[in-house]
Amino acid sequence: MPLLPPYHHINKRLVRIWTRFHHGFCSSASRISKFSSSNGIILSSQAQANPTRIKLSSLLWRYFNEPGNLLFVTTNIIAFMGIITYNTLVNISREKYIQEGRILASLNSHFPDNVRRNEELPLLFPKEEEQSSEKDSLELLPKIVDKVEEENETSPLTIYSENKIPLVKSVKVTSMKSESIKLSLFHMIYSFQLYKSVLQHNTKQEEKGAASWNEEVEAMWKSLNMRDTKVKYPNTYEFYKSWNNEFKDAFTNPTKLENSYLPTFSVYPAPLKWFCDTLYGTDLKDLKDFQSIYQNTKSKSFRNLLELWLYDNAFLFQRKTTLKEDSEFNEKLFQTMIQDIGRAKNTQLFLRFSSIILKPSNPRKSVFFSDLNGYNVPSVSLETLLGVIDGFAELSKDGLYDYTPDVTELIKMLKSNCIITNKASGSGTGASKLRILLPYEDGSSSIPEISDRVKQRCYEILSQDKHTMETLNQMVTKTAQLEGQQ
Amino acid sequence: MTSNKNTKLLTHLLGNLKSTGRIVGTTAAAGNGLPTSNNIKTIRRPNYIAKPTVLKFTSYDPYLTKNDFLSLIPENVFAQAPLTTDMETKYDFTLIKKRDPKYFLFKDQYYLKFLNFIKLQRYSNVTKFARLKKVRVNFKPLQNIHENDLFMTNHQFYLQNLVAAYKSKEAYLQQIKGLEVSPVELSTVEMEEMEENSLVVWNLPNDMKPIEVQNYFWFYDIKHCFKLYWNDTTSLHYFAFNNSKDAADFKSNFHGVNFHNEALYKILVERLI
Repeated sequence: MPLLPPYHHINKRLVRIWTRFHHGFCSSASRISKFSSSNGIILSSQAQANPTRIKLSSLLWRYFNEPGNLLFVTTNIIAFMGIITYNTLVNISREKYIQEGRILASLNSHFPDNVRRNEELPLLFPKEEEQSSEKDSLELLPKIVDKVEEENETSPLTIYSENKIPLVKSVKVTSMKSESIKLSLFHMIYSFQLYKSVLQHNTKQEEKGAASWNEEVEAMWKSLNMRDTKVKYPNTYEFYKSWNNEFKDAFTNPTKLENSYLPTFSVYPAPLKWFCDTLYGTDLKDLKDFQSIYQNTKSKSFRNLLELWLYDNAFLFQRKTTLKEDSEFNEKLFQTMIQDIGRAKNTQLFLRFSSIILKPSNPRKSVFFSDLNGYNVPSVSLETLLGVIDGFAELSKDGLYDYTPDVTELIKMLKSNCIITNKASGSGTGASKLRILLPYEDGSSSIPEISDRVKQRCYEILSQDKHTMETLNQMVTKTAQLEGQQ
Repeated sequence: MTSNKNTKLLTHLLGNLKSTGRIVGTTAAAGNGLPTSNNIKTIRRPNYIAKPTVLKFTSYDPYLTKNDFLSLIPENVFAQAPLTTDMETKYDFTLIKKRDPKYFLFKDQYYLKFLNFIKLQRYSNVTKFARLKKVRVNFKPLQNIHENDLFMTNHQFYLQNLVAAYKSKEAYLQQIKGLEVSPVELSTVEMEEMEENSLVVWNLPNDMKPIEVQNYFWFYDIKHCFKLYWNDTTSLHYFAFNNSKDAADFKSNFHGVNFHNEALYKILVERLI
């Protein structure tokens, strides 16, 4: 039995691995050569056959003989040289800069003798230890300099302590729109009061304010020589027309609105003072706030001005989405206004407000009236519609205006556009369930088709409603009378 | 029917309101705490200026302009067209921001330097109830002689240092150490231009050299920049630009930006205008 070394079996395995490795290596090399021979860059078919016989010189010779290889190598060399040159140049300039800085720093350190300079970077200061010594060198300068320096020497970091920051009293957050509304309303009423006061100056009716107000009135009265004026009552409509002409867009500049404020109104005459006080107390962010001002205003002329103003500036209260309660509220405001205007027999203003319902193109519809669920058109309640008819009746009493075409139009609307809503909280009478759709654009196509069955039910409800029947009866008799007269 | 006189009154009244913006109740009545000609003699304290010409205004907003202060005048609020040109002559003041003379940072105070005491009094009267951005303003006259002098020297120092800093880093350092105190010989226009071209920048990395900073922001026309201050956590750089547009662009592009996306290097930029 031959004597085998103890690791014989391991040796055997190693040899196997080696051969496998070597063999595999060779085969992969030949694979590469096969693959690259088509490119013709390094290995030719001969080299593959006899790899040991190739000499370096002939290899190089062959290599450079191939077209393109020489060019490839030369470009590489040139690029490499370029990089090196650039790097050297950059390094030189940087070193020069640093050296200059060092020289300068060493120069600097000579001036205040005892100041030790930081070596690392040329120009460094406020290090706290240095500051005290730096101060010594400043002694020659006047004392004030010391004071200035002391104030700012330590650090540019300002430390604010909470209790030292003066906080302003909480300022109400308001929108641009509401500011603009406020200022516009204030300006209108202020100008009106001034106008009225000048007209009535030195009469019993004059409403006096504090000294500064009276002075202003007196000055204006004198400058225009108003002594012999006959008319002592201002015409609100005339006034509004001129005011609106001049100040329509005056209160839209954001900077001005940001800096605006209500003047000290304690110097004004009582009605204006009251108005400013109310204005000061509200935010005026929606029609609700406007309504509260309007309802509380006692002065007839102020009310009239507010109505005129609202018609022209209704768009300021336009909301993208309106809550249901709000929209009911807005409609209520419309009702009160139309009632007031009708009673005051203000024909022109009444026609304007009624045109919101009558004219399909009037954009104010969406401010006062909301869209019904399922219908994309604004609608009014029966009450509102009857209110408008009543108003027309009121106007016609003095024969101021021939209402027939408008009322006919309204009754036509009642006849054709009436629908029933499923209001859950139907309070008492069935008439509150009725809504009348308003045409939005010209032509009836804007109103969805209403089935005959619904119409029939509407008429039933209408015929049971006392208010409707009374109003319609009145209209019929009036028309008959008018026709009789003609 | 409205008579002719009434129409005349109406147009006159509205025209007047429109052009002058005069509204009763916007200006304070006499007696606003400032000494009047009557009681000037009675106040005889040491170091007291009876007729101050400087008003102090405290605000944390570093970018208020002269126009902001002019727009406080109630007539400007209520008149339709801005009256600033009229106001310039009527009130005539220069607006000075209190800045740290060494580090150029805004120090939460504005000074309104009037031509004379009468103009100051007039301005202070009309703005008694005024609001600046909805906050009631509060102007305080500088009546202490020391305070007044301090404000003047402080401002003078600031201007000198800024001129030096705009020139070069070395000039600035000489200036700071009081070695070459050169009086400012530049016109206001030139000074303003210099302020427009300057920025201070907080929180750039401490280990960045000025040349690296300048290279990093190669897109902007930076004249030069250098470190004004640093400690372990923060740094303050001064940037001088060759034109104001680049300075403005730099501020609008980098204020509040995290440098290298690191919260530690949140860049804060302050212009000196």
